[in-house]
Amino acid sequence: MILEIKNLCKTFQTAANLEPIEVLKNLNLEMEEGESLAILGQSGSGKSTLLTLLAGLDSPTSGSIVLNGQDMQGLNEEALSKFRAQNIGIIFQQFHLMSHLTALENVSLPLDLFKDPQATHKAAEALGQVGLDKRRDHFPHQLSGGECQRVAIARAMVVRPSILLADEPTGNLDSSTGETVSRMIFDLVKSQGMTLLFVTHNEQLALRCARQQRLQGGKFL
Amino acid sequence: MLWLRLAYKEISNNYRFSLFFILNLSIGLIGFIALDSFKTSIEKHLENNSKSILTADVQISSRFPLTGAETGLAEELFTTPFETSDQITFLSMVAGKGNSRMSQLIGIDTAYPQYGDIVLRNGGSVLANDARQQLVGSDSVWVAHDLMVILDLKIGDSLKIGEKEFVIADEILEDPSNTISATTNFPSIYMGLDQIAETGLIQLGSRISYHRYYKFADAMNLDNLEQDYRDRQQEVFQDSRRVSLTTHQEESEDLGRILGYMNDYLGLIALIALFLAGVGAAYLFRNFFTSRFKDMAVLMCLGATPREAYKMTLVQIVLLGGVSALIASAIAWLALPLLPILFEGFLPRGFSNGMDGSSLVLALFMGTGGSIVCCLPILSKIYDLNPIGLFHENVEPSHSKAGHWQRHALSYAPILLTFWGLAIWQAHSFQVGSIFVASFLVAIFLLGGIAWLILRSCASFTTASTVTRKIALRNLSRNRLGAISCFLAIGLGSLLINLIPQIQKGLQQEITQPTNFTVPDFFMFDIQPDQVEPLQALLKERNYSLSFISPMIRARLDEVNRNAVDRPLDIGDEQLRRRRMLNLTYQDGLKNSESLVAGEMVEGSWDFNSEQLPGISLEENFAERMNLNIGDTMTFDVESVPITGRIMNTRRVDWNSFQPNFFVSFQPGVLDPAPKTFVAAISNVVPEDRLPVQNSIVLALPNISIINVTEIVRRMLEITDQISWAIKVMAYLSIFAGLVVLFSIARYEVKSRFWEINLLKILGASFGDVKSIVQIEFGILGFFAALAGVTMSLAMSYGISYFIFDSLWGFSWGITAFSIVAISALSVLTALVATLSVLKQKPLELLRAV
Repeated sequence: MILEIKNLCKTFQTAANLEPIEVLKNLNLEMEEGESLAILGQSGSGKSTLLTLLAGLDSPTSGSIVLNGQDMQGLNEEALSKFRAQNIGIIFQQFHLMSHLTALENVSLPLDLFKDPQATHKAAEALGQVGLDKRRDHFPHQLSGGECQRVAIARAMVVRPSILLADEPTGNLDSSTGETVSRMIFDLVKSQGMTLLFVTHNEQLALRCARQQRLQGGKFL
Repeated sequence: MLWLRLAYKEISNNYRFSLFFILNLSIGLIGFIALDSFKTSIEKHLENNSKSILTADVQISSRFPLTGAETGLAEELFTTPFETSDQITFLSMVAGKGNSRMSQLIGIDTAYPQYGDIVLRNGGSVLANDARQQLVGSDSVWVAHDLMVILDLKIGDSLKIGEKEFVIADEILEDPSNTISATTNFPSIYMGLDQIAETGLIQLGSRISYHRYYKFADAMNLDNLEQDYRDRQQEVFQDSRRVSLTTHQEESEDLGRILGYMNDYLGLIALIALFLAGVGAAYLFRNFFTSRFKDMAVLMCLGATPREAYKMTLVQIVLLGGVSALIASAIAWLALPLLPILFEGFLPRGFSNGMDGSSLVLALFMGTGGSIVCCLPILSKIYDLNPIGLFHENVEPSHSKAGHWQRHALSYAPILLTFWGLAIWQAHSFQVGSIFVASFLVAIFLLGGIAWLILRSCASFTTASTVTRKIALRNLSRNRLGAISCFLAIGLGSLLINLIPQIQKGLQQEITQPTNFTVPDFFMFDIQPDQVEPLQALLKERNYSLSFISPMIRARLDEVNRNAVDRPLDIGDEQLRRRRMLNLTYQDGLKNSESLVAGEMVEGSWDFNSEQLPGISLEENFAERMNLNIGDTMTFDVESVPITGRIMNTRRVDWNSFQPNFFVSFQPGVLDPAPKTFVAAISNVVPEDRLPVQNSIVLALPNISIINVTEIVRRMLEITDQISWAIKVMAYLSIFAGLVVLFSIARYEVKSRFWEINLLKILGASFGDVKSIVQIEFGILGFFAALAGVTMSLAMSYGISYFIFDSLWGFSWGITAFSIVAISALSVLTALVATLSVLKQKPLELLRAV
């Protein structure tokens, strides 16, 4: 098993005199290696909060997340950063590329962070896999939205993470480009045997995953 | 390397920010670095030339002829063989062709100077020929170039000095006795030692200095020599003040101190420029950094820790600071030749200005360290960043993270500590540095408070008639943080630029026209008792008269309250403690330049048969520094006769009246029979009569020394002008740094209102409307900040004048009005230039850009 979520709860305390907001309520989830799972839900259902917890960017109020055999709550900030760099790939809806870095530099950045001597070579390879080998020296502002997202996909996958978290990766793209990008994600995940957790509100897209889980009011239905 | 690479990438891809950051910091650093190089050059020059400046290794001096006992005492302390050279110096009037001038007469032997050189027009270096042998023993003199010009003399002319005619053998071009020209007002005349006596100028009361110079055969440790000599004098003569000993190191240190004081104050002003540049850098960095929050969050999401993100930003700041330091050093190096012009007359002869490695290291340290310190409060936000924001619309630092407020508050501490440390270092005084920082902080808080009040009150006027005014006032009242930063930058600049001229105005007004007094035209001393009448008669012929004739008696203070002053007297002031030889006078009542402070006046002459001691009046500051109080007794040795009096009152003296004033004044009837000379003044001499009057006195009574007060006042005004100009240059640098801050802030403010401006244009506002909003906003800011800064400068200049310059303060409408108008106009102009590129863009382009 690659991912095990047990009794996961997340509550936000707003103001002292107001009731706390319970965003995630006692979630349980298991994922096998190479499995793809779609998390479906409307806005405010808790999808993004779940992703931030899975990415180790926030800590749960209670419950546990065990990824690749490691309980993420047991790690301090520094160790968590390292763990994230080596095990988790994230694709954002807004791409979040570094504007002052070229496509190649953006992709090699996570490898550079843990001093991979093959960083440039691997990044160039990853860019090739997303069909952007001719755009490697372009800056984000010189790329289209679809191309930016492909760079972001290459950056997320270049470290060969244990799990790939995709947060509405086609949400900012037109339907045709979105289709190309999503196909690319599924093809790459399949070819590399990667585990994918795909957050979306698009039912059609969710059906391309092996399994679907619907999140509503902080609970899996 | 990764962090270096990333930092470099960020810098090069954000070149506008980088260029501005570097420009801003460089401006702040230029003055600081240039002054440091200048200071280092002066120290080096003085250190390398200290023997030439003193003309010996060691010098001993006394107001009385040196005896074998005194020289022997010094020579016992020398551990190496030595050579000696003797010298006598004093001031005297010298007359030439239709002109006369106070000069310094220097009697030398053939061994002078032991180090350094005297360069003559015809004879060249006196070390290279037998010019000294020819001078000593002949009735000839060498005359300083300045005096030759003033008296219209030529080599070969004769010159009457005292009662004797001398032939001018040569003209002095370089003179070791005249190292810093601004501090020596009297040109030199060299003659043989034996010829000094023949002038007949050495009379009772003449202020003569006797020197012996020593040149050592081998190197000798001089560190404690002065103290050792003083101790030996105390042991042998029970008096440590008969003869003073000066080593070449101390002499150059003394000279360095004069320049040091000026440098220190300029350094403090340069520090303000640096502070303003720091504020500008921090503001620029804040704008830049805010736009990089998302990148930081992405980095953290990819596995970087906050510390690593911090490291990358730090590398970036260090790189920018380093480049700024290098550019500032280059500009400072180019500006170095200008500094000797600013300090003209105050610099040692032969001084050359240069920049060495230590100044460059300081520049790099200040550039990198200073940038880090200024950006620290903003940098600390990295720890508040949460990459969660990447899943939402905005990435902003969270204020709820643990330790946020402590971290934020602590991040300001290094700024304050660095600024404080630098101020102490620049002022070379903990007290001065701390007062400076405290005043600066008070000024900031006051200006900040005023700004807050003004901006708050802008809200009350948002129902103004026109839409542009309404928007401008609303912007000011609702965006107080940015507006207060602008206000502070302009206000501090105005305060600085107006402060110096305001103080200078008061001083100059008082020097030229002191309140309630007419400044005399001539001040005279060394008047022998039998010369008073002939002098009065001579003046009467020209329809003038002597005024303020005051007797002057040299006396030595022996006892206070019947205790010998050597031991029990606890006097705080080192110079005064060593000074026991005083000039006394006696007078009935007070002069118009004096006023009673405490005690009671003693009327009439002292009765010899009275049981009371004669009354003494002391100048208030002298009494305070000597720890003397009303009721204390003072015993003086007047030509071996002990005279005791009781302090009856203290009085305030307006020294700038240029009247004969004394620290110690006796009741008449005690000192009248004592050997004395007179000092006096001549007032109301019409300008065309001044030279003839002076010349006629010099010809008839050559031993009388005459100071041309008009000339001294002119020289003092020149010096205050020059000092004030030097300070103003630094103040302008601060203003320039302030304008760069203003530019940065204006640019940021307009950029941050991108959408609002865009919307206004889409809704139909013209370019003129938007421009008018900027003009109104920065016009209000500039005007009120300048007004507040100028008002504070008036208050501060009054405070400085009150505490330091004895209330010499004068209000200048011209400077005040000009400062306010010019600074307001500059603010609007700077803001318009800064925002023009944004204002000019078409709304569509703005939409596309966003």
